[in-house]
Amino acid sequence: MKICDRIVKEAFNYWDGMLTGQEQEEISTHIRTCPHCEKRFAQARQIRQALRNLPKLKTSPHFHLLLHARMRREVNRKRALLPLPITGWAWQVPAYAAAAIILIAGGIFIDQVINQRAPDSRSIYTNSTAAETVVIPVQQTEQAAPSRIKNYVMQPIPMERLLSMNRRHAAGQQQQLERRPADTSRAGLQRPQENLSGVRQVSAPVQF
Amino acid sequence: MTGQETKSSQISDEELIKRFQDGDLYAFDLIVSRYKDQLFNFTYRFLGSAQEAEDVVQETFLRIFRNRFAYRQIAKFSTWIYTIAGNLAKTELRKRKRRKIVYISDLGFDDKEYEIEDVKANTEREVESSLAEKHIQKAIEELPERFRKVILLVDVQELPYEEVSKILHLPLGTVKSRINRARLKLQAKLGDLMDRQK
Ligand SMILES: [Zn+2]
Repeated sequence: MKICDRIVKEAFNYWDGMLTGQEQEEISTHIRTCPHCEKRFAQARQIRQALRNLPKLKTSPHFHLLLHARMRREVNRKRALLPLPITGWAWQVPAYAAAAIILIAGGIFIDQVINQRAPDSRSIYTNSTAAETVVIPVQQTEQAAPSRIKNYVMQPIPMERLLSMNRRHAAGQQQQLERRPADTSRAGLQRPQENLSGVRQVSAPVQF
Repeated sequence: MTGQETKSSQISDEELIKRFQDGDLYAFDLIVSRYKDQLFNFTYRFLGSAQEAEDVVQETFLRIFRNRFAYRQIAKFSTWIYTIAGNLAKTELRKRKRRKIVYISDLGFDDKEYEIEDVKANTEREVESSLAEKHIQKAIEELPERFRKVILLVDVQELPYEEVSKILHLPLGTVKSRINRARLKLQAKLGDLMDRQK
């Protein structure tokens, strides 16, 4: 029976001619004389034939259509991640944004230059006698990121309050005031004010 | 058949994928036409569900579309595409196991959209009358995954051993011994049935 097991295992190799001449000969002799192996060989041959002849199926008729739709979606998704093509009027959007940034940055730079030249004449909170600038801490988020620029907007301060504050400062009451002798150029400049039309403006230094 | 079609059938898969890599979408369509049915047959026999099989084939082509530059000419294109389809089918099978859906081999082809190619009755098909396809499919599905894949690639898709060895990332010797064991298992499952039908 041992030889039978080995022979059955070799059935396909036998048909495929993958055995040596001697092995081929041994098998063909055996199956002629062993009914068990003859039967197994016949079964194996039937199965092989059946596997080869399994009906060939075709994909559904809308296969291509569906695939193309999925490919389009794929392309569109990738396109959405890319920058907008610079065609038609679309170029104007980044161009205007860039121009606005340059103007604002330029304004700040020029103002800083002016204020470095005349530090004591720039601020609404300048103590003329001490020639030092005092900044009112409008918000706690002074060092916040530029994206949170709204936090920098100054609150309108009534004139009487300004005067009284100035008097208090002069009298040495600095509890609510922050001393900034070195950084004299910042106050009132990097804090854009919003006007009524909603357009943010860089506040011009107001002088006493 | 138009002249263009005749010509396109002579272009190798590797040339087509090269053209596709260069931006020719028509070349990709030709690849799809060439492989969609044979991949569908492979995945269908592996999964036993036409809908899942077609989804896997769709996903295979999408992967090719997406990763077209990953293909290098050193490998046969058919090896690459069968590897992708085989892996996706395996993933699908595992997903199904997690969902605990049991597919009973139901080869009534109730979904009429999946067309069966009209194979002419001839002597080659004499066996099929005695051995119902649904029993074969059931027996294939009952085979462990590793045997199922190898028998489908070798005996149903009739791919050469060397290519199957590359698709499955197995040494040639392992493929040969595995296919032998798969055949014996299949024969054990179908043998009794065949005896009863006689
Ligand atoms: Zn024997």
